[in-house]
Amino acid sequence: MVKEKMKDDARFKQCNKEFMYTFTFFVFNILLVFGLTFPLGYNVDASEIKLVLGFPQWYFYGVIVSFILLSISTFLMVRFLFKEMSLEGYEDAEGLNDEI
Amino acid sequence: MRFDITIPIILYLLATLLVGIYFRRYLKKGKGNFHEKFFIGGRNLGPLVLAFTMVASTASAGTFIGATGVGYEQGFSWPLIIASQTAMGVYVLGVLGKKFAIVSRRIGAVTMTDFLKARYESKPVVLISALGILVFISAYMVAQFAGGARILEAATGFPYHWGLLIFGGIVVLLTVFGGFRGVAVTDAIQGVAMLFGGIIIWVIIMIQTDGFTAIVSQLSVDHPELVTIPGGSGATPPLLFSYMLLFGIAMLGLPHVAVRGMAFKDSKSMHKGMVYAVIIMGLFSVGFASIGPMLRILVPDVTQPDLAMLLYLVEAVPGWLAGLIMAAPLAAIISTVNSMLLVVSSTIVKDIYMNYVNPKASERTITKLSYFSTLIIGIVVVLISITPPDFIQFIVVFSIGGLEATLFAVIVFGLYWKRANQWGALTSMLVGFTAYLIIVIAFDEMLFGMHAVATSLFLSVVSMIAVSYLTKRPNKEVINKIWGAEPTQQVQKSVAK
Repeated sequence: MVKEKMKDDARFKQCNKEFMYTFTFFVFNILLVFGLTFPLGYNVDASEIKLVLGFPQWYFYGVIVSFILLSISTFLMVRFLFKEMSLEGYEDAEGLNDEI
Repeated sequence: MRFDITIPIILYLLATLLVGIYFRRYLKKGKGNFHEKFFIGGRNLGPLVLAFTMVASTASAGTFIGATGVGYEQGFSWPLIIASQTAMGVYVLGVLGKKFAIVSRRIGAVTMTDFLKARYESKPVVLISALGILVFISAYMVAQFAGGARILEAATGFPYHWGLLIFGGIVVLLTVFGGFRGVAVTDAIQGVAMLFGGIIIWVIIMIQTDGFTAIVSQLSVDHPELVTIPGGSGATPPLLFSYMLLFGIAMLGLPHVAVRGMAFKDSKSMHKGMVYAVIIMGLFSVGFASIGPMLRILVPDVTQPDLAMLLYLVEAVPGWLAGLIMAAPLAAIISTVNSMLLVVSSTIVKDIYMNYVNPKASERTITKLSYFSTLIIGIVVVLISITPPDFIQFIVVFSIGGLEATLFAVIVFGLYWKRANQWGALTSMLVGFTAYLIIVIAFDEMLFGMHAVATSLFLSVVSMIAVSYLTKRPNKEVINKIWGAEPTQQVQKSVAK
């Protein structure tokens, strides 16, 4: 076997996916906070701002509610999209360790 | 001096020190190198400690004192910006991810610079990253120590210099004796203290006043700019976006945060750690920062806004309770500085000494050097802190942004893009750093309505991609070292056959 092609560690396919999920989550975070905050409060005069549980409406939804939604969606992302795998430097050299 | 406030604080600090020292025994037993245990705790953190140490090493005096101070002046638009950090744990753990954990186990990395060295094989890249860590992190530590001593002084009348010495002494000893494991576990305890501190303040305000609605209604009449957006902080969409980078995803460029991505035990710990981290960080940011604007009504006309929360507490509750709550920001400072102290000394011991000065150093030498460099850096930083800076938050923002602009692109592209090479890395670090410095100095930190970090990150990413494509691809050994399914030597052996 002279010019054997170097194979990539199979686990990294899943790692790349998880990187993309996390990046998508970042975009989601921005859209969520922007979507809840700015339509409700941007350039709205102080006298017209409604209070929800004592907070300005835009703050209640944009900061407090979005925090709760972010926590839930992190749980869902990790639960359904992330996969468990061995973190050892190399997987079983014989390729017996196929689970990812 | 107020002994009723001082005594709970001192007791709290001593208890922290004892816990740190207790974990010294973990440095002595178990397998693995001393420096692996001292600097990253033998890669053995479970989810809860991981989440707390991740969040606590980021949430510093800025979150607890600075944020309420700025919120006091600028209103609810500032906690909106602070809340950009809510999901930072998800970004750090999710982007660096299992890839970083696996690769660092392969190459025995205990610092971010270790990874950069293995990935780019370039002396200038290693030196720039080491230098950046030394300068920026040390500056940040000074701000934190000064903040801690100022809180002590304001809360108790304890003289600034003595407060600095006691506070600094405890942090340094804790770090030297406890190593990463001690630091991480005390971080978790500090984190719980911070959560309780936050909850108690909310309860106190609810009991002592007519409720948030009354306070905020009055606020919108007396100080309308405190309840609106853009409001006092000028929170426009571009500005908020740039803070989502600064306090959110770009946090993974911070060496003392990134190193936590090497420290978790297994993938389950990472998954749970991500969920815990959002919840904890959200509670910290919302819990403390929301108080700032309300303090404007509760304690009007404060000359030093940073101290508004403290002044309120001293008026509103008995001294011992004020003391216990004020332990929360001190806890935040301890948990940030101890992590940074480890990163700076690991930079000196591992990145500089073991790489370039004496690669064949014995285990004994490394052990001694790790202890002493941690001790000496700690002492130097405490001494520098004798002249305190004015506004904690903005110094914090400056050093964080500088590190992020320098290190974010090299680490992310180094992990996920095979084509990234040393020339791309070098250019991207220099461009990111220079751009950040220029924007901060010449444009007063803002460009295109965004914080300096946005433009400098963009430029550093673009130069990483452009220069890497223009120069030759990294050699096969590097690629195989980071991506390969088998160690390089085995491949070479099979080729030799």
